[in-house]
Amino acid sequence: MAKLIKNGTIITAADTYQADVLIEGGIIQAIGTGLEAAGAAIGAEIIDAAGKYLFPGGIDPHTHLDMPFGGTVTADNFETGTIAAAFGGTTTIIDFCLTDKGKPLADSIQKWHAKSAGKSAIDYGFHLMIGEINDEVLAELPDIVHTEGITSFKVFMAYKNVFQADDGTLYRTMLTASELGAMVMVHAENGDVIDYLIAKALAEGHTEPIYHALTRPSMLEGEATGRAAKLAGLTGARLYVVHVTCEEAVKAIAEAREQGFDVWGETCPQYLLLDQSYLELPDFEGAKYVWSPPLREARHQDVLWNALRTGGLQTIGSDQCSFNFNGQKELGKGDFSKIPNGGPVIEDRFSLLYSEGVAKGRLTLNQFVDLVSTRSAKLFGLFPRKGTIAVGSDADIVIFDPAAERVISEATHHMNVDYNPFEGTAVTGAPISVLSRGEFVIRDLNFVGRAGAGQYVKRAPYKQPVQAELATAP
Amino acid sequence: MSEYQQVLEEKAKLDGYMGRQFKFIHIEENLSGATVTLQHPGGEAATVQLLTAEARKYLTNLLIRQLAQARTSATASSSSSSAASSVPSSPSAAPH
Repeated sequence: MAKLIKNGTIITAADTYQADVLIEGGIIQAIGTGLEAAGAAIGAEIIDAAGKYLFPGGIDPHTHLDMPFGGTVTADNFETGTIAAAFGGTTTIIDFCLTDKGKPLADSIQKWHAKSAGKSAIDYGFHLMIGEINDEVLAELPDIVHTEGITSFKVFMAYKNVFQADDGTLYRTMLTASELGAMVMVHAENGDVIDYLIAKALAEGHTEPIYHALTRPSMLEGEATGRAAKLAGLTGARLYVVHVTCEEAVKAIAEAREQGFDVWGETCPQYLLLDQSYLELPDFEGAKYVWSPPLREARHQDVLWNALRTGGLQTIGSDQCSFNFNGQKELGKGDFSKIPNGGPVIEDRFSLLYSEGVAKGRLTLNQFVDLVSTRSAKLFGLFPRKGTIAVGSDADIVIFDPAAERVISEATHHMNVDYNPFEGTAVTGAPISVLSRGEFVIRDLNFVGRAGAGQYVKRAPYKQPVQAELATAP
Repeated sequence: MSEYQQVLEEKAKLDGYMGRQFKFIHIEENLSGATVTLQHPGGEAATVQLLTAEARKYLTNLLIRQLAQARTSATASSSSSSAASSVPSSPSAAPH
């Protein structure tokens, strides 16, 4: 149904202004004043957004939903995870499609389609894990980029003997990706050294969750980030470093960008707001705070905030990867290396960054929009269809009350997991209503969408053949 | 078959083996599911293929119970080798 959102304040990555938004067919048809007649002509429902901000729907570039792991599976699947995301103001996610070595990449992609189709309440796309490079993989990649619309490849530099790829694989992935206009993403930690440190800690009888952090020092993240960045410079590839946690990695990205390398960085709310001390909570509670890379000493938080403010880091992902404390995290009792890595953040990513960033004066409203939506849309081939409020864009809009106050809690969150790492955190501002392609998914704090309403989005390569088109133009 | 029915069938298989005192000795997983190998103290071995996410989560609970029992046995016993033999090859940490 057509809609006319009136009296709201539109916030994009570039502008802040008051105007009404006319929506029809899932697309923003007009922005301006005096749109009542046009709205009436198409039977538009009028929605009053006085006193509210209108943000472009959030884009979460980093989620793991329905992901198999060590005999279990993430607590949230594409239904529960995307409904929770919508409550939090996110209207598009890009999930990581894992792959099996020795098997066709296309098979893995079809498995991820089977997990998500008919379940996702919001739009979604996939990144693709590359664990090996051989003739078969190379032969599949062009079709994956151009037909499947998967234009970002993930390479793990950690998890030795599980997912870790060697530097040769990373280098060849970069070469191929660069030719195809796809971006390479890295989990940047030195997996070989970490593997040794974990074995050493366990051999010495250190089994508690804090040793997860102590065996993954920040210098190893900085080293791997710098290594990947140099390979990106060598190959001319575009590199995106996921979940940056520390000063060493921020500096490595800054150094690469100063040299003109095409390198970008993401961080996550947990690294901005939580620190290593949470891993020392008694009674195995520290397991709730096991992410990889791990939470760092609190001093790194100022570095990350400063990088967001000054452009040193460009996006915010959730790294959503939820496991129940009871029945899943418990796998690591007596051996920290068996604790399922990850936590539930998909619902609170948007609110936490607004509250801690904008409301506390660290970020401007426009920087906030760029970080939670626009920059990801641009980097991952979704812009301008998504990531902004503009005529012709999808009507993915968050009606946000900047004066609302709420307290984050497992008791009220919508994720399918039995704890919230931000339990008790008071946040200012809340998404009140959320539209996906012009239809309410959340209306006045209630879910009114439908599992399966979300559409798979094919993304564009970052290198478009503009020159070729211009050359053939009359 | 609906996914729900499939979950029930897979859980019933696991429960059946648990009821007969089988122990997990190996879990091998890929994107299609998990292949679970169990063994009876008498030596009989069995394999269960889990395809559904919910059954794989249920497996985790059973596995945690077995690991806790193994730790309890190890504490109670002066010999740790017997307890270790009942613990399956370990799953590894998840990627991000």
